[in-house]
Amino acid sequence: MGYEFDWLVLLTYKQLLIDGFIMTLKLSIIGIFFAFLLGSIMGLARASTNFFISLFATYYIEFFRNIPLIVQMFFIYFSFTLTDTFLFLETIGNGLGLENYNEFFSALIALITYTSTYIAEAIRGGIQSLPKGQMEAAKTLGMSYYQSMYNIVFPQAIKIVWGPITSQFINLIKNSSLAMTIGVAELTFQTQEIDSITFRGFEAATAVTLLYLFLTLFTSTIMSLVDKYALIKTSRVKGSIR
Amino acid sequence: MSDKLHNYFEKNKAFFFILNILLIITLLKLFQVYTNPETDFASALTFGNIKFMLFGMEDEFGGLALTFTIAIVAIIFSFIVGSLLGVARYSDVKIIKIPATIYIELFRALPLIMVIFWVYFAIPIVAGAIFETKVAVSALTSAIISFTLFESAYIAEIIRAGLKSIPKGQFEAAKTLGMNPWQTFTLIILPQAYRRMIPAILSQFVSLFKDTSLVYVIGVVEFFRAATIVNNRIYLSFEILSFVAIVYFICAFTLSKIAGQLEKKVEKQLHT
Repeated sequence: MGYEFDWLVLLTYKQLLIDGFIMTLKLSIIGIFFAFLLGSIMGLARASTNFFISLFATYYIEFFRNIPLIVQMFFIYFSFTLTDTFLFLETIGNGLGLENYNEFFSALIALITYTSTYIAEAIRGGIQSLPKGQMEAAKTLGMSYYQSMYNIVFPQAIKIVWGPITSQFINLIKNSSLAMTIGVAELTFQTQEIDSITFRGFEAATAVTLLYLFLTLFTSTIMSLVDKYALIKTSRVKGSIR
Repeated sequence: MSDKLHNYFEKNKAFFFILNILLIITLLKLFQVYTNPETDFASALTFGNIKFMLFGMEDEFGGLALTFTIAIVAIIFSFIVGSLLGVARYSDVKIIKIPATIYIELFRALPLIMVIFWVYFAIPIVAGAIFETKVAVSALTSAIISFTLFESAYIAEIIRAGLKSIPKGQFEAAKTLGMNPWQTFTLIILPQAYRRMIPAILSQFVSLFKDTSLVYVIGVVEFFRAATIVNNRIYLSFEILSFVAIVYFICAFTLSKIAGQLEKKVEKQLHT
């Protein structure tokens, strides 16, 4: 006699899955937003011509990139009580409808620092791959360093490295599953939960796998749509021919 | 000025490499003095504890040594599986191309922790029920299987990119010399592709090395698990976790620097 699948168990425990999915979404969306912000700043700093700014960014990137995410999460979670130090986190946590602030914010901060280093490296690569003439042309037009960075170089660089940035966003979504190790009740955590209640790990794992697939496919679709319609059209080659 | 400093750094790489690591440790120490003044490194990092974290117990292999073993074994297996998948995805034959593509895309969309969960919990239950025997996979074996399944998808993509970077002329030249497809691949294309891919594979190894800390969830006593075991006993989490962070940092930083050096070397070779 083979294994008898019991998919109805998913219906019985659907609330757990929905809660987990929402928690993963919260971690991912907030994480992606701040990781992109911090990553952009650090990437710009790394590509900066100022030696000391660039050195600082290099240290930041090398440090947070070479420590496993799970170690960072544990370090933040066990060594500090974030909500004691930063009282405003409690208000934000209330606003997000969380139960355990500390776990959530520890996981979130670790996710942000870890992913931002990869995004920073991608953006630096994009900036450095642009011809120097772009910066010089902007300077000739009388723009300041920040103006030319903001108006000319950064938009083009972001377009070039949109693919790597997309895969870092997807990595962040996938890595949010590590938050289960410190007790954030997200999707993977709920798989274990259903497994331990009903011993139906296979069904639960299938459902969660499909949900993750949906999330990552959805993200990459959105990102390619953004690439298609929202990012500037870089037609340097065409323009130069004209 | 920055150019001069930069040249100076380039000339004394090894010295600055060690200086950087020392500087990072000093910064962490300062951070600790500022935030957690009452720490007790002496009782956290005794000789016995450090030995347990690095090499495991007397009769049981574990700790950082096991971390490296898992990473190396897994990268070798996933290199083999990944090569096959990469070539399969690169080929024009639909019967092998489509399954390889599905496999790669599926595993790249899944979190590693889910893969570990599948291999360790979900599949043995079903397989055991179907074959009516008790299928028990040890934690260590299932860790290596999970890493192989997961990493081979990434390695396959690296290999496909490497194959794509080989000019079409190489294939044509091999054909002109009268080689069959197998000879073309093994003698002409793959050796060139592998040489270009070494840095990328090494950086994949660094990320695999960091990811081995995830087998913590299924109880393989590798470095991170060993550290948490020590932490559960004496409960000095700040001290132990900063030790863990520094050790991981030193290993991964060294490996990634080596990967960077190799990348420069390979690029030089390709351009001359």
